Amino acid sequence: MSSPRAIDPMAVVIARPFIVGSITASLGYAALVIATNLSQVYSPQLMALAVLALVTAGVVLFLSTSPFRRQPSFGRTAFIVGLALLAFVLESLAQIGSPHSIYDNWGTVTLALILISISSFRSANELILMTLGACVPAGVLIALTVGDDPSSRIVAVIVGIMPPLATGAAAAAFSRSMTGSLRAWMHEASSAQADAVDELRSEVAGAVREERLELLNFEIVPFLQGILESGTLTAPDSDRARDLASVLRETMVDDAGTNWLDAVADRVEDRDRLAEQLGAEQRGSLTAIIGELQAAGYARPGSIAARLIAQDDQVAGTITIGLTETIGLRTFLAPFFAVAQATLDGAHLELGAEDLVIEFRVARA
Amino acid sequence: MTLVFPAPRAATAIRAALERAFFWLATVMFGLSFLACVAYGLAFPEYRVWLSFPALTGFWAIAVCVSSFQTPRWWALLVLGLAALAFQVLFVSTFAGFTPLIAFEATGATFLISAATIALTFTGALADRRSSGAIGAIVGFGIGQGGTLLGMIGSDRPVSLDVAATVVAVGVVVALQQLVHSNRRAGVAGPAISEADAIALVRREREVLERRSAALVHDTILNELATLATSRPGALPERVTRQIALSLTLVNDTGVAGPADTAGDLTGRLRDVVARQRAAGLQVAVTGDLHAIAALTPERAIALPEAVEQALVNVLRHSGTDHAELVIIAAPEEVTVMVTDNGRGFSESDVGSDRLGLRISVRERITAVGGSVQVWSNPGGGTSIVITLPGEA
Repeated sequence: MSSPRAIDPMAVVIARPFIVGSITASLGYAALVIATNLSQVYSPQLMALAVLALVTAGVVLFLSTSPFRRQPSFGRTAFIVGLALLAFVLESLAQIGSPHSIYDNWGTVTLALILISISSFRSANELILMTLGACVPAGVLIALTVGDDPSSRIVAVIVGIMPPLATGAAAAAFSRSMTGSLRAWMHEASSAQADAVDELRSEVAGAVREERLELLNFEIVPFLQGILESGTLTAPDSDRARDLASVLRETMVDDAGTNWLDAVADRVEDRDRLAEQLGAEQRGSLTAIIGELQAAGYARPGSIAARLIAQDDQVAGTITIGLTETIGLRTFLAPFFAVAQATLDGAHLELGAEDLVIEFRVARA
Repeated sequence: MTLVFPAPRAATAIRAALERAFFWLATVMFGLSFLACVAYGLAFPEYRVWLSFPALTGFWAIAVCVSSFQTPRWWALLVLGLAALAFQVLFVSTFAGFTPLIAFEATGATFLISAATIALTFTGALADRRSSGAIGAIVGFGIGQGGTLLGMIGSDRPVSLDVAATVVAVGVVVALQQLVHSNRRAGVAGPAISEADAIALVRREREVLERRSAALVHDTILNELATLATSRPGALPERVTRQIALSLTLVNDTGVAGPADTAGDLTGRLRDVVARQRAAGLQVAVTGDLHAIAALTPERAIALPEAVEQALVNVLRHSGTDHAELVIIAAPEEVTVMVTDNGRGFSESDVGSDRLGLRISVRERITAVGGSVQVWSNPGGGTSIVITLPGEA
């Protein structure tokens, strides 16, 4: 089961301000309702715990949906929704004993805001599951604690679960539609990319062949053709063959000793040539981060160091970039690192005062 | 190159997803309001709550109409807007006109009216295809709030701004504007990432092809030069001249990924390699099916015999023995080939950087096509080179 975030790393960048807004609105709304209905709070301790549960849900949601982290798991998102539900349960319990109505509760509204916030991070089915998982106990609790007669209880339950059920349905619809659009695009893009790669491969193959012939045609091929035509080998020919072999071997050793990482980093420590085991998308995302940091003036010239070592069946990489400044760097990096997160599973970023360290691991070929 | 959803297309996709979200949000709200009114009406038949049913049905019908529009005409929107206003007036007046004030406040009628205004706000956002949806949301909220005020006229209900609906409307407008801004921000980064990705792809393709080219040059021209460098002066043996001619043809005519590479009988290549090395003086014992490479993709079926040949050449040149064993283990998911000798062996770390045979012609050739190479050797203990390639999946 896929989500918009799982398919498109940029979804997290687009959703981020909305999530921050939802968390802020949740906390603000809870504070407002508590302040205006203070007389209905029978147990301040339980209400404090309810607020604590909501704040925890907000903090976990904020951290889990960071562009600098991998997509939150189903368990993590269910935990966040569970905390929001717990906040509602504690809020309801805090009001038992005092005259109150469901219309004075903040718990269902904040639960609704939390549910809509995770729409980009889980599949539609999972969102529906979490919505029902939150609404059913919430509805049971409302039925048990609110209303004096069956009809008012039914109305209270319906009204109480309306915000989370409506936003849960909206979140699921959003996730399903976005996932469908992204899948359709990926299908098209994959076909187009396959054609483009074939074309590219053909162009590059021609260029590589030309370079090879340029290297060989200057001296080596004429020499070998001369030997073939004469049918005999002289002592100077043998010496010449040795010299040419030596030069050719040196050229090939030099060529074999460099790879894409040398073009990106100023210092490379990669004894086992592990950089070559990174795929095009992994290289692209790292190149984009480094290139954009350089272009924007964040990277200190000559400061980019890369170190790749083999650890079991993985390649462990560390890229260190010296910084000229850090103001606004996290925001600047967010979209680039979100992509790196998608291509380099488990990529980790550490932003210090003077340098930025990117750590990643990829499976060895 | 498929990493980043292009910003213009993302904007369209987000818009479409929001439309689905708004529709379902409004649908659930209207639906639950309907259920609440049914429960309310059954409990208090004297309050004529049934009058709200056509209003709620009308709201939902408007949401359905609006969601099915591709690009709604202004007059259609005007008609639907006026209809929504009329339904809201009817809905509010149902409660304001027939429900006693105490019941009105206690049973959640205020909440249901707010819910209708909120749902109309989302319906408005759904109808607005010309802006981010913000203008539509404002108009939808205005219709809901206006209908509420009109519906309250003549009743004893206090008339005030619907705070909950107002907060939601402001939140929706801000969120929609923020989405546009966020998508624009992501859109700025997208091309840079796509460009870096494309460059990386070109470099990767070039690297793979350069490795193949280097392996070809190593196995042909460098080999011939080494042969000439160590041959005694005089007439060249026919085997040597034939090999030089073949090598020159290969480096001149062979592309690095062209059709010529994949032409011919691929399955017989491993057999030909063994035959050539036997002719060169190496006694090769074969275990397993030499045609097992039929299970490989064409590029792997080309790379494997070439790598095996270089491994056998290395045995003949460097191991000090003229016996080698070739073991082929074919399974549906992978093909494993092992070249073993009981020669002098070596330590891989002691091999000079200028010794390219194992590195370029075996290891890089195989890793370039997604396989792996393991070398088991120690001085005096013989050598085993294990090449594993995934099957055609």
